[in-house]
Amino acid sequence: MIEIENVCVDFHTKTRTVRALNDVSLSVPQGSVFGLVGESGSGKTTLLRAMMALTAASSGTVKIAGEVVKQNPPLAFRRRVQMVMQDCYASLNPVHTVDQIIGEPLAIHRFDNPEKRILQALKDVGLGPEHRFRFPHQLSGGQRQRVAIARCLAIEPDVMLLDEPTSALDVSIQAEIVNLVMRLQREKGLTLFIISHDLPLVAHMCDRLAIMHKGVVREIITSQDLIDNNVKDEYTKELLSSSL
Amino acid sequence: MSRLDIEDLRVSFASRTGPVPALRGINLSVDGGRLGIVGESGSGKSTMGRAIMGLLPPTATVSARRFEFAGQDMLKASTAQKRSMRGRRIGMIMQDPRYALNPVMTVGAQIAECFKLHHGIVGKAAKAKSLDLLSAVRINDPEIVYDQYPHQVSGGMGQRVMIAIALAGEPELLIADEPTSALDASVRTSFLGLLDQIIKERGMSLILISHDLHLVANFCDRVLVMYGGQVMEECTAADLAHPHHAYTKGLAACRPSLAERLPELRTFTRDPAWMEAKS
Repeated sequence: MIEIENVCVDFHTKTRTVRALNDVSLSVPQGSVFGLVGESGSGKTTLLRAMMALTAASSGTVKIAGEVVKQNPPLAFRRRVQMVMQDCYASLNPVHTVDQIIGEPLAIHRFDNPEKRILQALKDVGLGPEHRFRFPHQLSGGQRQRVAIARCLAIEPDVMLLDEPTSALDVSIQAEIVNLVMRLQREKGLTLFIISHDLPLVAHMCDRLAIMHKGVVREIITSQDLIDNNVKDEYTKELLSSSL
Repeated sequence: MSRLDIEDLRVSFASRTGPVPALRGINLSVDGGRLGIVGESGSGKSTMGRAIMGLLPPTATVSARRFEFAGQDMLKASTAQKRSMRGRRIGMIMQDPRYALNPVMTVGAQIAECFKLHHGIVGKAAKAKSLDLLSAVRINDPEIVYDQYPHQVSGGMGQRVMIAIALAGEPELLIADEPTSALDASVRTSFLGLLDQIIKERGMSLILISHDLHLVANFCDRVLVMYGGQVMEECTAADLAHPHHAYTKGLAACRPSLAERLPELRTFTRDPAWMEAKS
């Protein structure tokens, strides 16, 4: 579903060039859950942005469902690939109601019967019709993240990219959101790509994961490898020991 | 060692629909050592830290049967008395260095300012002392960092600068409100190690406010678990492995772990009885 081949991303400043991603290659089969782990500054978000065609790759290709991702992609690409942002306190428009937030992508992608789809999307994420006409500030953090997920799901994507989806939430709410995402993934056969710095969380959610450091993928392992401590790379070992 | 003694602390905020209680009868005493306060968002843990610092907004109403620090009644203290204690006897480290540091002052000037304010030390002497503090918080090139602005230093370094600022007043009690939530997991461990070393060397008491049960269990001596503005459970950090209260148990169980694989993460429902006022 996702094929990333030898992707490099450079950022240019007046005086120097920073290589944010250096020769990253990985592939994620359809319907599986892939995790990306690393410290801040390791290039996780840059990779996600390159997959969303928000940042141009200097070289290499990103393919999603067989199509090469280019800048200014067609509308159909945006429908197929959706993203949940890290901070649900910042990613919902504060002057739009939940109804408008979920309805907007439906209108952009010309879906029929928005009324029914909005209610279904809310139901999918465990919110009721009573939440439909509320503003984001009238919702708790967990409810906001549910709205952000509902907004993605409403337009029936194939791939969902989640950038630290629970780092702004309490652990008890994190557990609810994680269970919700995993249930939806199974029901709808979604391909998920999750960024997190929380190794136990990634081990719980993902089939396979990549460890990034300074723009380089150090190692790609399965979650079982992580649990069995079956890692080879020095940096991964260090990360694993500091997270326990 | 100066003692902090709090009995039946109540804080409520005025709102259009009447007072909203934030703390509902908290008992707490600190006399050396490391106390952890854990709770979820909205549990009142930050209000607690701010109440001790005297940093609550004017909309807050504070009452307590006893609220003493080093023998002084904090409720009766005048604004001037409170100001002379703030930073000097009770220090605070805020959550996020990106917001808590002054963006238009160099790091060094912000530390030197504390020496001027608390000890009347100015000029070269203040600079020398600030440089000492920067090395004490393990900043490698204090001379360079001294002249840098907050946006030029990393998150972990910014957080160490905040400790340096808190230490400049040489407080007896240090309150750290989520000091690691803006830091990476790898930096977090070394930051806590540094904090631990500093409070031990200087014989300070520490109140660590956090939402992370695991972190507090590893780092503190005693722990208060808060929910809905009340203390659910008070225990030693070692006992946190075998919690008594259902809330603490639930909080501990819903964290994913590498040791066991579950089909779903555990969740828990909140018992309305936890919200009822304790006599």
